[in-house]
Amino acid sequence: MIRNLLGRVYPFYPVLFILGSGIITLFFGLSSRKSFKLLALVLSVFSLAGGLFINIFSFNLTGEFNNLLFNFGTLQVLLTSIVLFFAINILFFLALFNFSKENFIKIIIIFDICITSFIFFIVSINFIIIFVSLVFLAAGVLQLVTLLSRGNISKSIPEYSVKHNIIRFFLLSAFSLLLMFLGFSLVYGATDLKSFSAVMESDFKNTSFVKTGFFLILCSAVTFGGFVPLHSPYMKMQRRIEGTGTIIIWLLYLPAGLFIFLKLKDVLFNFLGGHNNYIIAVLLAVSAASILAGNLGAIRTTSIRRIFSFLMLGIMGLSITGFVQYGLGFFDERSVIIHMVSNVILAGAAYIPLMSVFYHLENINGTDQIGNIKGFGRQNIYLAINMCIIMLSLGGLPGTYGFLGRISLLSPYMKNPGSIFAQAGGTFSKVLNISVIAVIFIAWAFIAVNMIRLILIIYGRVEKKPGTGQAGFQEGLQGAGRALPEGPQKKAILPVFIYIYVTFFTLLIILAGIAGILELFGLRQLLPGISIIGLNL
Amino acid sequence: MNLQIIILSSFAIFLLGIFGLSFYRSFLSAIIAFQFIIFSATIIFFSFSLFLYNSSVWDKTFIFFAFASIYILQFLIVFYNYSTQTGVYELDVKKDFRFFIFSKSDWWGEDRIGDD
Repeated sequence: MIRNLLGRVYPFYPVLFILGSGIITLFFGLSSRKSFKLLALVLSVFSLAGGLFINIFSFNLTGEFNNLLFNFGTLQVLLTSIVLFFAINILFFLALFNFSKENFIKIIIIFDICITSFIFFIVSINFIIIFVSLVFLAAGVLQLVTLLSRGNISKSIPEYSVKHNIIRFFLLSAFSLLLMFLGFSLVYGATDLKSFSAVMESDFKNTSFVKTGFFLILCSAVTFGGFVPLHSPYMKMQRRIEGTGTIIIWLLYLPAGLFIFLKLKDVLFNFLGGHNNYIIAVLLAVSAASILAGNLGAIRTTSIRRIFSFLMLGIMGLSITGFVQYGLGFFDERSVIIHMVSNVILAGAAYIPLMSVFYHLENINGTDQIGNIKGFGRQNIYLAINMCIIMLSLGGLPGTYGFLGRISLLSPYMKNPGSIFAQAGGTFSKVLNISVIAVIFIAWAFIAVNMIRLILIIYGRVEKKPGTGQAGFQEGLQGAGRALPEGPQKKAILPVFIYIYVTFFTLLIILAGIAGILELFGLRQLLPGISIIGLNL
Repeated sequence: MNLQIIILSSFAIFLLGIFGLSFYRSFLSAIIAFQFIIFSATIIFFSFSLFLYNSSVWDKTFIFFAFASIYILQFLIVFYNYSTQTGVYELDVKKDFRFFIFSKSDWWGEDRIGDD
């Protein structure tokens, strides 16, 4: 009977774990006692870790699952695992920076609901489930961001500014979901079919109603992801909200925007497969604009949060370049998916450890200015080296995980350099071809420049003037600790577990990078059966 | 009345919503513009259901769940705006809630906190 019951809930074992811990946590929802907070946190961590394990284990045991509403295959297992891993790390941030808050248990409960909605979104194929789970995810993120920002307002940022920009961002989110609703009304209404794959297999796929519907859903994905030119609410909000809120946006909300593209993959592959140059050009324009705006914007700002928000915009833009490569005939379907997923993994693997250090420094100094990290490399050699490796990986340094994502986009041209000009389809195709190479190089170069800029600041020399900056503060001189344009105001003493945490991610990035390089040269696979690259190299 | 006219009028309502969102700046205008888009989508759903599929149950199910979820999200945004739990109450006067603003602070470079 139990086996029968378990068979019925497959593939939602992680959801069972999370809901189980959520229900137990509900009993302590109004409590602000430290012991209950700790219990809620531990329960949540164990449920997510258990969910991560059971997600992979049950798939290995039972295999794929398909019905009218859900599809659970290799891609879904991978995406669910990524989300659960990110969720565990977000919990770490919650515990680190928000444990003292009175509403901590409520935050945990809403966080559980968010993750549950995300898992449903990943495995859903039916339009209703896709839409409803995405709306609940957005609503959950809104609640989390507002709850975290309450009572945590920086003195330098007025509360009306925080509230205004949170509302503006989530109005954009609601607008994107309404566009999706309208798109579904056309696709669903005109065909009476309930999933993208069913529509693509039908004779309706080339009707104008269905094409308009797909176009609206694609627009909603671009809007939801905060791509250029609608990135302003995202950029403004990230600077003003509480630190963990920004991590939630980077690791839960924005990846959901990219996963909408994965939901649309059958549609995009169908229209791009016919060498439809106009769709390729539109996707390339969105991607190039996001990469350029993201990377140029990051160079021209001195706020760490804003720099990394801009860089995330660039990564989002780079993630959809895979579809352009598919349209030009250089990528197969698998490569597009792996390219997008690897960019999400890279963003997570780099942002989580870096932000754990940056937010500590922000809390110490009371500002997110780049001056916080000036001279950090001389003060804390071990952490600085780790951070540099992670940042260089984000910049695409060979031998790290970041390199693989960058080289994969260029690999078709490296294999066959003549293909740049030998593309069939006329001058327009050649222009697209050259443009995409230019975009890839620009993305690589600019993100590397951004990272080198940060590393130079980390190892920069702090001027030791009496009465100002770190030296003055330590000596207790008059005027010490006042706001300075450059240089940290206080000596950064970080907890030991931050060292362990950052080291773990550095090792992960290096190991994945080495494994990928070995695979690239055809030497051997470090992890038998698991391809790090998995692309058409 | 035929399906074509209904679809065209619903498209006109959608454009009204987009115009409202891009032209007006206030919070309430954005919320009202959203209603136009919801209205437009609902017309399309029901007209297709009525004309082509003999009042399909699936369409009504979609409408029910979509309304429930999207109105929860909108309610949360409205509640947050008018909530007295935050120090600032009712951000509507002289506030610019447009999504697309072409200013230096919105696009690149330094973010000037006092501008908003």
